[in-house]
Amino acid sequence: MATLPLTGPAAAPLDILTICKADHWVDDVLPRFATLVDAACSGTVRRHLRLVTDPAAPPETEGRMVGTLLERGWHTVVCRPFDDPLPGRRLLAFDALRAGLLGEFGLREGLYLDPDTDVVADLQGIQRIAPEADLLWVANPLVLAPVHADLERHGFGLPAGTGGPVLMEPGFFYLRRDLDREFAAACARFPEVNDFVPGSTYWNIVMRSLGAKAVRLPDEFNRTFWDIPAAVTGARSVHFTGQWKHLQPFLEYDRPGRSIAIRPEPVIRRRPPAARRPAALAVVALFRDNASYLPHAFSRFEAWERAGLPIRYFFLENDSTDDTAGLLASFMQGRRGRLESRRLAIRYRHGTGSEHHDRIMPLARMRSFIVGEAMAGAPAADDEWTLLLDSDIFFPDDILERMFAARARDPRPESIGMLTCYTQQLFDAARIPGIAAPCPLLPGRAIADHYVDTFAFQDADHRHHHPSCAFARCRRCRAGATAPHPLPLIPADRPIVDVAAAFGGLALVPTALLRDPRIRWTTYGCGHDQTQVLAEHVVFCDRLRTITGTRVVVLQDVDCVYRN
Amino acid sequence: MAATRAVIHVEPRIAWQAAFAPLVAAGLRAIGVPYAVTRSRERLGSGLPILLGTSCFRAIEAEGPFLLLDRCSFGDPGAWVSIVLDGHGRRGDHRVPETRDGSRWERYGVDVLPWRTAGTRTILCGQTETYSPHHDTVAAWYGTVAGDCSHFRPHPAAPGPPPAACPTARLPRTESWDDCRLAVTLNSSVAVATVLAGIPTATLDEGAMAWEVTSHTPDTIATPDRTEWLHWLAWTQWTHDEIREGLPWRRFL
Repeated sequence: MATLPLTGPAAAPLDILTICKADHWVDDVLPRFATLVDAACSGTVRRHLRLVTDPAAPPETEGRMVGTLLERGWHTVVCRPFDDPLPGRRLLAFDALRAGLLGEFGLREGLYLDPDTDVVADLQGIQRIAPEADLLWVANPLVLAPVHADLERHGFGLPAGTGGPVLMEPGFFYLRRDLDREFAAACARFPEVNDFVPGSTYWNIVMRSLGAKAVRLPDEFNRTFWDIPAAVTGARSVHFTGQWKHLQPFLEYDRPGRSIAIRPEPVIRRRPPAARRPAALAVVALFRDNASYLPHAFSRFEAWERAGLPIRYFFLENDSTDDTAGLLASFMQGRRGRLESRRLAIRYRHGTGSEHHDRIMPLARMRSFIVGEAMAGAPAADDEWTLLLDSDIFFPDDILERMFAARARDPRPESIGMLTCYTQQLFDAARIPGIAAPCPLLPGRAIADHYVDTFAFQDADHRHHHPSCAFARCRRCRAGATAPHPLPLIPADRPIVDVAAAFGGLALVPTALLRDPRIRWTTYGCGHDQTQVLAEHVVFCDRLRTITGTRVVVLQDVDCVYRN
Repeated sequence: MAATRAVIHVEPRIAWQAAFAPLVAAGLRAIGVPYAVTRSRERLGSGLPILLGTSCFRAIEAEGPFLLLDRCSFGDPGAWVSIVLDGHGRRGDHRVPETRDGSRWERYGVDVLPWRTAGTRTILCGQTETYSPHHDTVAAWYGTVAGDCSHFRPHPAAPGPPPAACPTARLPRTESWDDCRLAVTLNSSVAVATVLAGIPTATLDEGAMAWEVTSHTPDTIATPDRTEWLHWLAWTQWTHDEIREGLPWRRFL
């Protein structure tokens, strides 16, 4: 029996290979597999995945899956649909696939593990065992009578006096060369085998055909879960079969305590639990004639600072005729970041609407400029988020917690590239009789659930609802309407709304995404008079989504942000 | 079993690469090409390496065929990427159709300004690497042309001002193209921008994408008709949407 050398030259990287279909296992099974491998194995470990893709799935879905797998640290992912060389024997074809994995990944050797295997202890060093062998294998403790019968019938029974019959477990083996030709030859030469686990029969034929080139590993390298004593005390990896697979996600190993805990929730979630607020913040804002508004914003920033949040500030003030520049300069004393006060003499073309090119393009340039300034410096933390804030936006001081709590309820929070709120328009109550409700944050002001930033909003199907808002809950857009809204409305019971574009005057974006200089603002005009242009946020959101593959969402339940 | 025909090499810690790899994957899948995605810096199997950027995968470039996805020569880098086989810039094969009309160029509506006929400044354009077999270092190349230039325009990614010994150190720095008589570069993509802006340009390495429409010494001005070159240029880069749909891969794989 082979033993694991405990000393010797540093091991080459341990290459671990597995196979998975491009289905829910990518989210449900592979994260546990990857997390346990990374946690248990020392030295350099590279995980390789043969992803059996679904020809019916949209290419974009496959692309996103590839992005997710890269993000989760897979070294190589080979993507190809199932190419069934053994029609009608699909499970067997998966066994055949394992026999040729080294070539798939361009490797000389590697450890194959079924993806529903828990790696509990270090497997590093396995590559130094019996270097002359082509195949290192572990015993399957299951008594597979049909396999034994096949082996006896085809002349692969063990000679008398060699101990009890032992079968190879085909869910854990170390390959030093591909055995696909041997596997195919066995299938061709012995077509009549059991239908229960034919792959096991052929793997055992291959293993026994290799003679001394196949070396058995100590049993501790891999045990089945139902061998509870081994799983609790010493198995380096544990594989799951049959109904036990349903239990696997809830299991946690406590080796020092020699116990296994069964938790009420999956131990390793699809993704790490989302943080409750950013680790650090970069605040980016444009201001012009906002002296009366700034005390509100400053009070929020100061509350966050008191709570220990590291913040960098990047403010661009232009052409103010009040004390905005002075207030900002005073606030920035001793704080990290940059204040740019510019006399840009921008010619706003009054009377042609707020969507005119001459207004939007300068805004886009200013936004891009000040974000560029923010991205030029190092973030305050790896997980820094950037708060994009417009002037005259009012919000409670726990807005960050509210947004992150809403984000945490999304099934894929890390896929969100931009968090925006359900920013409501503030009204004089007299202007919206019958539908007005008091604003909880600003006494004397009224709200009607009207989403304010209709110009920047494009729904998930790239439909512009402007000047109405796209939300069914809005009382103002529905009140007094003489005809139904011509586009589908977003129901009120959807807390996280995926959109093509939105802003709302307050948004959070991971700083890491904004360090890509392509993700900036601009606009495009239409017609000679330029009275119709795209909101600059539409272009920004489009770039954010398409370049980073992330989502832009409106947190419909975070409706405590208001604009005058 | 269908073999892997393309291998996307990506460094996931570089944000644009991590974001771009899924686009390339979707495009390959859209046309049914078996592919792999890897962070390996080494060639993997027999599939054609698709390299995202020039910085991480030099060992692969040195060992055989490769397909390079790099910064575009014209237009918005957020919307375009250049694709070239087995080389950098014009040294590689862009698989441009032998017969081509102006439709692809005109579809994307990039402005081309008339050639300038006046100007006094000769601006030497910096670059970070030579990408040329003729010059070992950028500084050495600067030494061959700085004497003919009046100003120096540093590369945006250059790390600070040049050392005093650098041949460009004596030249006033500029970022403006005003009053420019001639832009001088080795093979930087800035030459495409200057030619599109109507600024006469000298490129001194045949790998420059604007080689056909530029002079090749700092003391000569060339203002040829750019039409044919523009039509060629339009086939050297592809939009992100085209990549996602798999259009370029049909030409290269």
